[in-house]
Amino acid sequence: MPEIWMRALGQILEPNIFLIIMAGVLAGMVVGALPGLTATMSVGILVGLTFGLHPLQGLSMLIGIYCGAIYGGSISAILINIPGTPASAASCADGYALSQKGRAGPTLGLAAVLSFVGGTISVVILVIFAPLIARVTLKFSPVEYTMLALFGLSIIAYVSGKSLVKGLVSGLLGIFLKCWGIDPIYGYPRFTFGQTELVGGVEFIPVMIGAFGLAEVIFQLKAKEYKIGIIQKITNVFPKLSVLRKQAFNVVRSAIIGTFVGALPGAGCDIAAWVAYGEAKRASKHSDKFGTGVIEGIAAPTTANNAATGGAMIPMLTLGIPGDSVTAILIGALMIHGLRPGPLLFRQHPDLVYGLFIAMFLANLLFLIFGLAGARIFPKVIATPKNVLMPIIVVLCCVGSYAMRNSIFDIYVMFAFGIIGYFMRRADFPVAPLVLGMILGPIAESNMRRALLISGGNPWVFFTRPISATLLILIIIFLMSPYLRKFFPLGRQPK
Amino acid sequence: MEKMIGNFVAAFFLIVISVYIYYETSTYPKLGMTGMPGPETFPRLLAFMFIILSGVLIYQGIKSKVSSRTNRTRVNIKDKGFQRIICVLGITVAYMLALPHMGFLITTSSYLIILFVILGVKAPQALPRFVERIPRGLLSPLMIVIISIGVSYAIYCVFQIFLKIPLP
Repeated sequence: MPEIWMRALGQILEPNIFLIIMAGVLAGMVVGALPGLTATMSVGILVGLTFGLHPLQGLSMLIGIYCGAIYGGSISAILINIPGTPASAASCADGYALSQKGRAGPTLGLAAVLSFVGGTISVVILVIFAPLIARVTLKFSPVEYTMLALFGLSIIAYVSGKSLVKGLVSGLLGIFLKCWGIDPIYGYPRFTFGQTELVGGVEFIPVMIGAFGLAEVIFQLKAKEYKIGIIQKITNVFPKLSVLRKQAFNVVRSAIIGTFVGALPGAGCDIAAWVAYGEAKRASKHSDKFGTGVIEGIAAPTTANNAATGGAMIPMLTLGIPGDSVTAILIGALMIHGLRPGPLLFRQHPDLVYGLFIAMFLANLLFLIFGLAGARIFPKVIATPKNVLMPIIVVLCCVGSYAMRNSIFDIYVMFAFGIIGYFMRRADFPVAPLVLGMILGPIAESNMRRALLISGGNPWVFFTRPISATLLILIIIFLMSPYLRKFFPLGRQPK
Repeated sequence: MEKMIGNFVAAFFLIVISVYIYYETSTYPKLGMTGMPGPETFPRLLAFMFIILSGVLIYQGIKSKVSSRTNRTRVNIKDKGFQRIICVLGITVAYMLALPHMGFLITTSSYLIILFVILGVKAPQALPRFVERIPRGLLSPLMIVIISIGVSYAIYCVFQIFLKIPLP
């Protein structure tokens, strides 16, 4: 066992991988700090860079961007009260209030340290539990995988957006998109509309870049230019030990909450941050002061959102089910390199898996160093005007879509889904389930059909196997919960 | 009425997609053993769920109460933001069509210059000293050209030269 760690450490510390992780973390922090550019968008647009790299190089870079971007979002949340990424929305209230009290520097430093702590705790949990879960999932049959994919989809629909129905529509549309192309069992072409480009199906990456990237650009261009308020001077970045000691319990609790929420398929860093914030407020003696510049109010979400990054990797690596939209892209990146996430990845490519664990820890350490050292530079980064940034992002969207198959058709797909994604968001249809459905759909269909072939066409096999039956019950509970709550409200009834 | 439009439009598209799925899959040959799911099974299952969900969307659209937030699917053609988007998307379509014929560097540089002009990119007020000699009227165009060509070359270098990923 220690030999795997030593080999993985040796790989990560090679200059070509170490430097690329550094570049990824820096790029992620810059992108995360810029409002309007999400971690998903930045990872999605830059995934094209990984096509020419070794799998460990490429994935390490994407992990660096991911971790850097989640921390980077806190910077603009604290300095200008605008979340750089959705994951830092919960950090705005108290972070900005502290900044307005002249404590921008210490708050930024605190956010960097606590993000590092949260991320590191989640990596430790990932390292301990991922191999254990992988061993259990080796016993999974196509029946369990079918239910797992549907379970992932039901959670995604439940947590994304305001309406469960609209989340389901979005997810099922994503699954339908992946039905286009060659049938996985019989090889019959489906929904190709006579186009040779569609024989291989619709690729996930251009759809994701369009739906998250181009759609966001359209929103940004439509909005009026926002004016950034006066950014406070950054001094005394290093947080005091006494402050860290007082927050220790809050931080550990938030890290565990973040890791657990991140591990739920579809529930990402933004939900983890809000849950941790809510719990910190509930447990605090000064809950009425939350939002006015309370340390707990910034400590909890900044810890939890980075903790969720490690948590999201657990189902991704062990089950091939994305923990959030970024890990869905990482699954796509793995598949492009011919690797299939799941229990066999641990058996067949342990060096890669353990290399990713170390890369994740290193990414957390690097954003701590860059965050503390470069705190005075970030106000200049945030001030980049949108009318310069957005056209460059459109170009990167086109390049990222083209790079995978050298196909202009993929650029057209990206553009079409940019427009579709824009109208979906306007009509309150969440986009994340669409993209996640494209990952889970093929898993659900191919395993369902295999399960029925093995069982001789007997559908009861989904109800009689224990894990499958449990997942089915959970799916029903998740789908029915908004309606059950109306008839069985929890807590006291108002008089 | 506006509040129902988004749900009704979505339900309409779902019904159209479902009908198309049934039509398309009816042309598929019967493959595999009798009773086993073929290539048409999963899409038809999806179509069935689309029909149910479109019914729910229509029901929710009719039942939705008056709220201060109006349905945002309606577009206002006179809105400057909307006109800006149409302009940018139109130029982006032209960019995508020109890419395979004119190559990445020329097309991208031209695209960025045009968009920067349309979006009103201007030189910042605070400038370094060595730039102060340049006439103010020339600063913004010069900056636009330099940024456009610089960014295009930077992306070209990173993808084509450093990572060896071919560009159009």
